[in-house]
This record gives sequence, structure tokens and C-alpha cells, in this order.
Amino acid sequence: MVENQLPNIRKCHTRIEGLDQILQGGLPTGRTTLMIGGPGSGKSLFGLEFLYRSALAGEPGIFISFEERADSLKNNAATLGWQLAPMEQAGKLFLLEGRIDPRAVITGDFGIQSFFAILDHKLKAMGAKRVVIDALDVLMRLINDSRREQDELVALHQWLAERDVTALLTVKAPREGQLERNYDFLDYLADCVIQLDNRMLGQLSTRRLRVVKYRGSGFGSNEYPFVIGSPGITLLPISEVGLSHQALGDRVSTGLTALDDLIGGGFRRASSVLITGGTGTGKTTLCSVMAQMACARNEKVLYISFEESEAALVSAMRSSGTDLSSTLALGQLRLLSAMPEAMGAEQHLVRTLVLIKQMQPSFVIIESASACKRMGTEQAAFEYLMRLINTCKEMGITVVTTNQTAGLHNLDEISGIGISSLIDTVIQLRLLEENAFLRRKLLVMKSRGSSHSHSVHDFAITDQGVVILQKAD
Amino acid sequence: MSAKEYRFRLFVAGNEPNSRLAEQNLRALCQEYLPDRYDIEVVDVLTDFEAALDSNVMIAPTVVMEAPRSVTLFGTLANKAAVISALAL
Repeated sequence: MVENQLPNIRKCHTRIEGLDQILQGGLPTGRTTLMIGGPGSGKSLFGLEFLYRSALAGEPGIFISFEERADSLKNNAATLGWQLAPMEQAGKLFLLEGRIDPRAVITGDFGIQSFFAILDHKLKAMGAKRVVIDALDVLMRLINDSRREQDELVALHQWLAERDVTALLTVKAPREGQLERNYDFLDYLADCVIQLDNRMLGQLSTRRLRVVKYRGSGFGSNEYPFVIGSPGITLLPISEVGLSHQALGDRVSTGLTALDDLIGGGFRRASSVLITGGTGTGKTTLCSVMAQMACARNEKVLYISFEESEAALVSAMRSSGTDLSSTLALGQLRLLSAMPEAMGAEQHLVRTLVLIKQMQPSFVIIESASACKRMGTEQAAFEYLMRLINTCKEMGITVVTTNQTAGLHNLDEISGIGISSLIDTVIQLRLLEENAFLRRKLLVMKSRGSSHSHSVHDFAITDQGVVILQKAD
Repeated sequence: MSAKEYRFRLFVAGNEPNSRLAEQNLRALCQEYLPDRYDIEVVDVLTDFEAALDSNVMIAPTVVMEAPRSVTLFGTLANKAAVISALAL
């Protein structure tokens, strides 16, 4: 990792997808990191995943929870597919339930020596150098004296530093308007401070992470969306990556020779194609033809549909002469269908990117840009498409996006939601009434790096497939 | 373990002042209110961390009354009235 010519800081990998990239290597080794977030923002899971992944890599760690029960943590872990028990049995992970009995009566002074004694023993017994203290605020609230809280925090900080322990402390974010001086103090003590939040965008909640400070190290300073799901937390530090699109590749057939001719001999590999048109103009049919052609070339195809279920899509295609079922059965074609409203744009993105990573397709179809708006806000849809298309271009994947337009044809509308700069080829489909007949029209509006036809062509969808007839008059 | 009516476990951190004070206070209170009816087990968390771990005791001094009811107290037991009320003596 680039250290930006700063003194050499030791880093401890978190192994959480995307986080080490943001932290330029990981958490500061032998130092304290503070993670602040509201209830349900994912603090405990960050801590647990850090220790779980460390344990898997052979690095032992101790998780102390002052709030959540060990059982409930284990249940959460199980839903993410993490197998904690073998790690615990192997002595690589220890969950310490430091829950404070809420009915306990406090009278007079006390200290946390017992906590230190237990932790010290466990650290030595396990040879552990990694500790997560979850919900430290619960312990601090018990002290209920800001002066003494500070003393205890200093003591804790020194105690951890003396043992060269890489510590992640989590605390609940203070409610708005509520002054919590000791968090400022913790901020000051900690070498690295990370904030989590969970806010509503449109109708959907979005989780975000931000690194507030990192002493002696550079770090990604944006707000990074993240999702929690199997196999764990995934951050998307995509904006860290510059534009590194692969050059457009050789030409491949769309599956329709007549259409190939119109765009200069087929579309280029690693290019992005937009098919735009009103409802019923044949966008899905055209996509299916392209998907089938790609499969015939022995390529893997991912078809993302926000509009139709797998069954509906397959049966619709069959009526226009394209049978997708055999390629589906072979796993060469995968359909990913979802309601856009079902989850936030980030979650959609992670789901899609995880599948792309697994499947390594060379051809991706997104149906449709217009439906993506239902993910919440137009901005969310834009980010989803922009990042997805960007990733495809970086991986050299050809991507076809459809967009349903309402009528007018200015380019902004055609390109959906401002993604036109990422689009290499635009094909516009229309239905026009001519002499009491509905006629299908096709026009290539743009095709980067190709000479293309500028004429409107008639086409037809028959049970034999799509036929492009001739130049329209 | 004896079968006394009131059973306490007092978790102390070695000889530190708060722990010593808690022990004094607890013994005095028991003499006054529960003569011959109590039993106190003192656990030093600095040497017997396993016992502290088993009982999830992070704080010292901690008094756990195990019988006749389960009650937990933190601190030196400085406020006698509060302790009496918590233990329902």
C-alpha cells in the first residue's frame, strides 16, 4: 500500500471486504481505533468480523461485549454464515460477555481491575494481540462521573498500548443535541476514528462508513456505503478507483446481421450499449437475441431484470423465437431478477457485483435504467448504474442497458439518468402508426468509434425472431 | 459452602482501597442485621480471574448476594441505606 511518504505505520488487516483499501492497509497495529455509530449501525458486526477473519487467518482475538449477549452475537454471526464455534474451540476467538446487570445497585467507588485481570489472563493464554471492546459506553455510563471516566479511559488506552494490542472500541453515537464530552476525549486518545451511520434515503435505509481521522496515515476520506449480508460486511470503495476502463475490443455480432451492419459490423467487446424506447417497442426481445448470440459464442451472460421474473422472461422470449431455457439450465446464462424496491441501491449493487465476481460473465444486460429509479432516489439509481457499468467496463465486460422512455427524445431522457458519458452505442426503438398499422422503427443514434447508419429502419418481431426489414422512407 | 440463610460473594481486586472498604462495610452490615445468618466468600479477581470470568464480574468491588435472592451491588457500599434497601434487610 502507498504510505504517502508518512512514517511507517504498522497496519493490521481487518480482512473486511473493502475496508483495508479505505484504511490503506488496515487498522493501526498496537493502537486504539474508535468506532462510533448509532444503535443498529453495525458496530458489533464490524468488530466481530474483524476478529473472525483474523481467527480464520490464525490470529487470535478477544471480543468483549458490554451490551449484547454472546448468544445473540453468535446468532447474528450464524445468519452471515460465520462459523464461530470452531474458532472458539481452536482458541482463536474468545467471546467475553461483560454485560452489566442493569438492576445492579451502585453505591460508592469502584474500578475495572477485574476486567483488566480477565483480559490480561486471556490475552496471555491465547497469545492474542487483537481486542474488540463493544459498547464501551455502557461501562463508562456506569461510572457516571466525567472526570473518572476520563481517568479510566486513559488507563484503558495505556494498558492496551503497553501490551501492543490492536484494539477496536465501539461506542454508541450520542443523540443529536446531546453533548458527550468523553467522546471528544476518546477521539483524541484514539489513533483512528471511524463513524458509521444508517440513514434514510428516499424510502430506503443506507449504511455508510466514514473515516474521521487516522494519525500518521492517509485514508479514503469519502463516505462509503456498505451492506451487511452473507458472507459479511461489504464496503464499496469504488470511488477510490480511477477510471481504468479497458479499451474496446473486437466486434461481435448482436445476433442480427442486419443490425450488425447498421452499427459498423457488430458492437465492440467491453463497450456499453443502451437500448431506449417506449413500452412494447421490443427492447427485451432485442436483449434476449443478444444474450442468446453471446451464449452461442460460448460466453457467459448475466441478465439482470428489474422488470420481469425469470419465468415471465423465458416465456416471453419463447413467443418471439428465442429459447433461453437450455442456456439457463447449463448455467451459461444467469438471470438475476429483483424488485427495485426490495432493497437499497447499495445492496442491489453488492448483490450484483458479488454475482459478477463469482460468475465472471463477459456479457451483462441490465433491464432497465428506468426501473432503477424505484430503488429510492434518482441519485441512488444513477450511482447504481454508474458503478455497475463502470465495473463492467473495468472488467472488460460488454454491457447492454435498456431504458424506457416516455416520448420526447432529448439525449438526457434517452440515456436514462445521466449515464450517457458511459454509453458507447445508443439504439432507439419506436412504435409508429402508419396507415393504420403500427410499425416498429429502429435508429442507431450514437456508436462510438464506429461509422454507423443514420437512417431509421423498419423492423418486425415475428415468431421466427427479429427481422430488420429495410430503411424506412 | 455452608447453608446459611444469606450468602454473599464479594469480588475484590487484591488489596486496593475500594475493595477493602467494601469488605469492611459488608461485614459490619451483616454483623448488625444478620448475626450468624450470613456467609461471605471473598474472591480476589486478580488471582482468581476464572471465578470472575464465570460470574462475568468486570468491576471490583462487586457484591453478589446469592441467597435468599439474587442481588448485585457495585462499589464500596458507601451508602448504607441504599444497601439495606437493595438487599431488603
